[in-house]
Amino acid sequence: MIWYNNGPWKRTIVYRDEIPHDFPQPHTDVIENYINYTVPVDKFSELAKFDGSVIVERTRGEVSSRCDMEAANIIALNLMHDIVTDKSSVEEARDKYCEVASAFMMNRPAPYAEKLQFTVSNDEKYDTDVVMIADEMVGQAKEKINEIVDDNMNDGPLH
Amino acid sequence: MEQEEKLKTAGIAIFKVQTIGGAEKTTKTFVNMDKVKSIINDWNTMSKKVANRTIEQDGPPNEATESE
Repeated sequence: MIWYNNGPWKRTIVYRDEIPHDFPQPHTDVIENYINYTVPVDKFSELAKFDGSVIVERTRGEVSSRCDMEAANIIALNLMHDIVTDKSSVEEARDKYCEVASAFMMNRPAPYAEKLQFTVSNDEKYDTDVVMIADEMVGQAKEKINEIVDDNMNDGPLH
Repeated sequence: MEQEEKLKTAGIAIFKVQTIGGAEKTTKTFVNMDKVKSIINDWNTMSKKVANRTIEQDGPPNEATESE
């Protein structure tokens, strides 16, 4: 099931098939919440170490989190932002995830589980990368023309 | 793929990026709740629970298929 622009989310998907995931505790991932967010490429590895269910989409300029409840995705995305902005290391973020999730489960104050602690852009910001193939394409086109000319020469004089 | 087809595909892709961009087309209609119920009826407990909780909070989904 897909919801667009529901609450703070660009898109929310609930899946039929559960994906097993043991951080911070054993559960299955079924709900994925997406936001517009540009992650610097040099932060990708840190986010991969932080949580395998935080998914960075470079070209679309999106980040999503997939877990068993929306609140857990809010925690993960808040901590993702802390890592990207150098407010937390990966280890600190993983520790804080456990702390916040535990507080949330015990109905204690847990702001990181209640709402996103940073502003999310409504505008899509694609990372389209750079065009690199143009020069090579021109080179290949020249080769192709030469091949055609050679073939015609071998077939006899042109008229 | 034939060469002509390859060049057409590349041309269309470049033209579309330059003139239209790639913005997501979101579905603005909602799925009929009878259809939603019939789909999630076969889902396992956790997926069904989360789907129902999201429906309670945000209303019917904009899209629904057998797997998501």
